[in-house]
Amino acid sequence: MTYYDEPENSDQNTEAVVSTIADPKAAKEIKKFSHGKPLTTCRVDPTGKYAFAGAEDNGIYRFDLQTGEKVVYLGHDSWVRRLDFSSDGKTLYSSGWDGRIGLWDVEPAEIAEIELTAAVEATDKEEAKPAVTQLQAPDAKQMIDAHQGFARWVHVGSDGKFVATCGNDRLVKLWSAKKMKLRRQYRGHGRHPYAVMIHPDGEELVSEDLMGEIFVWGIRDGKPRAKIDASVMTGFDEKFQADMGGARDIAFNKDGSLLGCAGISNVVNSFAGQQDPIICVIDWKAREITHHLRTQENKPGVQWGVYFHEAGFVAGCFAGKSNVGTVEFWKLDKAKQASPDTKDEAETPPSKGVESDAVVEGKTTDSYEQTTESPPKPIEQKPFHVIKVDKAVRGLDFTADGRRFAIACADGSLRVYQL
Amino acid sequence: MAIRRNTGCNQIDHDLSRRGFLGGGMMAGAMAGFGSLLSPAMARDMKGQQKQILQVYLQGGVSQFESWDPKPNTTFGGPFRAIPTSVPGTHICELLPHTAKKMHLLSLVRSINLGINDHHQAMLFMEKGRPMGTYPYVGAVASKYLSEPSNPLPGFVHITTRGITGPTAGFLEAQHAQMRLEGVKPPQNLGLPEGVSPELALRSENLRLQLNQQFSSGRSRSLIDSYDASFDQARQLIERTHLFSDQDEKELDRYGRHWFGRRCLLARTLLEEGVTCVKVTHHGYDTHAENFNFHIEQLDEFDNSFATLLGDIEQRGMLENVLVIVYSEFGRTPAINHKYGRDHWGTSLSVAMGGCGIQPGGVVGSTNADGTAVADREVDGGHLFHTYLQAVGIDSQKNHEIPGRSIPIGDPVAAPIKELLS
Repeated sequence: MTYYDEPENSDQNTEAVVSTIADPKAAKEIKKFSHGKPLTTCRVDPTGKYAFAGAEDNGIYRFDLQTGEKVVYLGHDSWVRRLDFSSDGKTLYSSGWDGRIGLWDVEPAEIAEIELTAAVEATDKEEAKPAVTQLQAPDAKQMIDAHQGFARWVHVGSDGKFVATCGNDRLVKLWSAKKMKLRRQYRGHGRHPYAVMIHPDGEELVSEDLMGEIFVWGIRDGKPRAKIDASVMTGFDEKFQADMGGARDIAFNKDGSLLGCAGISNVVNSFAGQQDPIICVIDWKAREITHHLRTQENKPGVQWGVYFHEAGFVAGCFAGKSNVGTVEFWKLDKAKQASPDTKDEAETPPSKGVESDAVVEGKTTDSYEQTTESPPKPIEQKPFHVIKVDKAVRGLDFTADGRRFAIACADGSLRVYQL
Repeated sequence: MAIRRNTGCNQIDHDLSRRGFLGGGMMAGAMAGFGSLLSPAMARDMKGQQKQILQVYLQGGVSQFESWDPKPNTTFGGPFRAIPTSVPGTHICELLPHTAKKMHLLSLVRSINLGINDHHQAMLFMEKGRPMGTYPYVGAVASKYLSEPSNPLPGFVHITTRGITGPTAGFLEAQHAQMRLEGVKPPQNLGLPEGVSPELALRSENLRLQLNQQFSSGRSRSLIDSYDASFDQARQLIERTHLFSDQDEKELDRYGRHWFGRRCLLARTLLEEGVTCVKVTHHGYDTHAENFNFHIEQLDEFDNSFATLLGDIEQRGMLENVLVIVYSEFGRTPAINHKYGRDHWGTSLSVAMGGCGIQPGGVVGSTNADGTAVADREVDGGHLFHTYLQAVGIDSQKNHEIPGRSIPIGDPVAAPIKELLS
């Protein structure tokens, strides 16, 4: 048995030609699809044909970006928090508040038309009503009980070999992508981990919890390698005596030199939504926060998205306390931008892996890098462009070619923009 | 005979400051005395039964959906599921796994409609059993009618760090007002100020007694006695230093080392010491934003600590005489707002209670399928107030006997929830 599962159909990877001349200032809303319940997140599939969104009715909805055709995927017993795709783009992964990870066909062979309410024939008093139907995908290919508590995140590594998840059992888990066999679990977060990502080099894993503690883990040896302080992204609400914070989205840029974590900062009264939105940009090599990306108006709310575009800007999406939103765009101050050379040559080489099915435990009792010097003060940056949205925005994703993006809104709309 | 009215004593409210207590005798000058408010018959009925109350107040308005009345997979149900409990057929929210194992000790009322969405007004309704007017809180009534005269400790202790303050004794004597403890530590300002020697403090105390004596000359002693009693109670409490010393490490492992766990452990100790009503407040349920994340965090603290406390009370054989109540001032809206929050909702909420005088394992009333309204057996704060008092043996349909008038203990328009009473 090998340590790795081969990525499914790795020779068929979808590789779009990415636009490097995309201009956010030229962005226009080109489509708007409606759903009856607020959306919780969204992702665009690698082909750019579909956008998938979670909703507050436990369903996952696939929207055809051309036709608007909507197909529901049912199987979670709770809301879906995060979606991702296999490297070949054929499988959708979902994480739900029911603690489960679902695997679904992006394009199932059959889609059923389910009658929700029967047609009504015309009477003297009432006009005829057509039957109400919905298009429904088959059951999930797999549903995995991944976490005791809620599965807050699922991410498929860019090489397609592993899937990372985290949940309210305070565990970060690594699974083989193909068979969803548990390979490792990482203990160390003192509070609930909110998000986890596999570094593009496939060697490390990063997870951030409620308290803004970011752990860097070695994928192969399971050991913690570093801890990054992002406590700027959490706060203790003195009045209500509770903590609020953590990553609401997390993303690497393509070469892995930068990590972005979206969320909140400057907690005043989180029970009323009174805190600042923020995206922290982290220099991966230095393990330091280099930028605080602020919204143009710095109104209270939550930053729910972060995306590094290959044209050189960062995009984020914001849900305001007063139910308005924005999509905002920043260009990072190059003087502070990290080197793309992310790996330290002196770093411990990866082991050859595990030759059994035994789950390997990583724990923070192992030694890891700890910064002793005070890091430089991050640059506070405002966006160079803002798109206003009339509802709170809860999710953002770009097509693989970088020319379009979709946002998930609190009013149940999924909106598509062309750059 | 003219009714002498309270003109300000309730401002004291036992915040347990040295200034407050030293000033107690002086404040009495601004107040009328009520004489003996306890009818002899009621006194015979109530005294000597060692009944106690534990109130756990989830301040801000815990969501009924995320606690006692889950509605998974419904329009407003939210993301959490329901779990079975130790009572067959009764399910509560999955955020309360430890409490679920103790539900055979508790009963639920799922059909409360206060019709009030304001924190303060709703809290008063839940505490006083009346939507308006000056009346004593449950804890003050318990202190009045259940505390043994020989008990040197306060009758009503509230462990909290913040929250709405106001008169809690109503027209009862000041000694029945809540004594507030800010966590597991002696109240502030009760130590001697810097530079004040014990000798000087003793002289100051003697002066206070002398002033009290002068003031009481020709006046009713009752009110001054009441404040003297309050002062003595505070002193007795403070002198029990073990209450505020380091808590047992093994017990903290069981209760949790967070603030609420420590407060629950202190509550157990205070009940064991004989305090008649102990109220513990857990803050952080006013979740207009991030309702679900906050309930995960707050109920995670509440669940284990409360279940441990309830289990200890049972195991020590105290539950027969301790009424346990878990309540909020209201619930939260069915509708989930754009901030993932739920707002104030006094239209359909739940309370859990158990122990002394309460039939365990029951569920009274219900809400409709979506949880937007009470479906049957609608009750309000008045019914709950009657029920609490009846459970500990106080006839809530009798009167407070005040010189010149009789005031019904419970609201006459409400009645006890008979099916809950054992």
